[in-house]
Amino acid sequence: MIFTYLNVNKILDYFNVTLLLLLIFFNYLIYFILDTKSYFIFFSILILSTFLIILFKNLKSNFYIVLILLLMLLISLGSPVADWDARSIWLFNAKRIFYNQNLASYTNYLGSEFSHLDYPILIQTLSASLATLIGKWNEVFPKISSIIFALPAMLVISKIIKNNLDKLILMILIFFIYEKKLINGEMDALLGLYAISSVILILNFLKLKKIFFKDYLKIFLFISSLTMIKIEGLGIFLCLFITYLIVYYNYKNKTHNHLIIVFFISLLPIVTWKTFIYDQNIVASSQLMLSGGDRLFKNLLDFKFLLILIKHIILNKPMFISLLLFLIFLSKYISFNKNETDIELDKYIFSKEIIFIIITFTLYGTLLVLIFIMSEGSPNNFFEIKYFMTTSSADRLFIPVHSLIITCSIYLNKKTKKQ
Amino acid sequence: MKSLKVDSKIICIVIFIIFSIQTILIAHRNSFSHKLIFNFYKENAGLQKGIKNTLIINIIELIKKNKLTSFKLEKTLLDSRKIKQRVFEGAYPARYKKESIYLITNQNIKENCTLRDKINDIYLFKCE
Repeated sequence: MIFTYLNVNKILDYFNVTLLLLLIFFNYLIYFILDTKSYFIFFSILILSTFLIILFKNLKSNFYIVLILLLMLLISLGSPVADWDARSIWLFNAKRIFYNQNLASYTNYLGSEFSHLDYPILIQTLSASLATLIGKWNEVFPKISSIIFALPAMLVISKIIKNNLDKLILMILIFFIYEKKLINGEMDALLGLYAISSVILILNFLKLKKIFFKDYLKIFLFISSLTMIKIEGLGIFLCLFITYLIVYYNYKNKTHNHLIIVFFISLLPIVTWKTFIYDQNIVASSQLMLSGGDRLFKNLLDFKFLLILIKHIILNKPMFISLLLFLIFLSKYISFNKNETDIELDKYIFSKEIIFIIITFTLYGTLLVLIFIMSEGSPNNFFEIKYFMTTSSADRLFIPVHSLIITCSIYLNKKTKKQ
Repeated sequence: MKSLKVDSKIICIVIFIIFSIQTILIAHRNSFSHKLIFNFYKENAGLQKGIKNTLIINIIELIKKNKLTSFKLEKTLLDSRKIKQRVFEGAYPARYKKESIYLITNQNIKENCTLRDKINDIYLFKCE
């Protein structure tokens, strides 16, 4: 009886990705101002229940997404954290937040500098709240924060999934490119998912005829999430912004100008975080890794290093799969003329949305290569292993590039089906 | 040229099998254990399986068992990047402090120190 009065469907409408991300951001913010356990428990219950309600809501319409996430959740709950960055950086930082209950004493102590305290902690504060909910720290339950955080991005991606082939491409991305990276406590797969969802949201936003506040809010939340997952997100943000200016921006268009403002406002969370870090006297680890010019030129002249770098970027499974899929779908738009003398390219290849994605991943890929060249041999590297940075992180850091190449394949497939 | 027709059900079954195998592989590579699922609410669940190294587990165990708030490691242990990082994050909230009176070492005799506890070849000394 009560359900007829309340209209369950209308209530369920409020439980969407925007609400979930907003709650995660609020949960992050309270660590700056409060140190009361009950608030953290309150927010973790709110976030967990919103997550479950959204899952339930999408059980019919996006069953495959619910299935993927439940499967990942199950594996995550049954797996320890063994990978280096996941343990030494992400989980350790979450553990420190959990035990300190606030960020007032979020500073380095002798020997603990390896945990890169300057890295953003949006997901780590969620992990800390989840641990507060069960009342104790362990290395299993707090890790599900990655799955909770993956849900909004997955649901945005589901908007461009139109047929079974698209679903298959997405599943290949998650099971064969991300593999365990979505559940092992590392942030790279999440960054990949948020890179895709930010691109989709921007492309969809530009197609809207009537724009509401919630549309701006959604873009703000996703783009700022990108910068708050890990510092590389700032690079993707920059590439997205530059590509938007190159491909779409028209200063006479009001919507385009509004989007520029949203881009700038989206930087607020990461700027305030960096200010906080500066205030806590924590030296940004990126300052130690990058070199102005000496290592850049030295490494550029090191032919062996460049070969190893190219090998680790291109000759690996994720890049091979993503490029293969991309070329398969791209080939549908390439044909020979009747005499087989000329190659004809379909105009869709040069459409703004395809160009937007291609420029974004090319720019980000180039930026990463530049960072690799500038940081190889830094004091943060293993001295005993030459080319440590490249050999240990190249394939992992390129996940957003793989993700965007796969997104491009989905867009290419989308068009062929329409024709 | 005649085209080969394949039943879509067969394709679906093949895809399902491939993805199932990949899921098992992901779980295996992530050291999945069904026992952990039912312990997800317990303190320090997953710590031992995550670290794997017995020596490091023993050091952390010594710190937790003796409820130390600070400790210091013998130079040979501290020089190992793996031991240092795993102990630092595994033992937290106990912190490494140079001036701590509690020394963890793999040597069974230390001058001016009294043995407090030991697990296998790892010793905890109190040095006044």
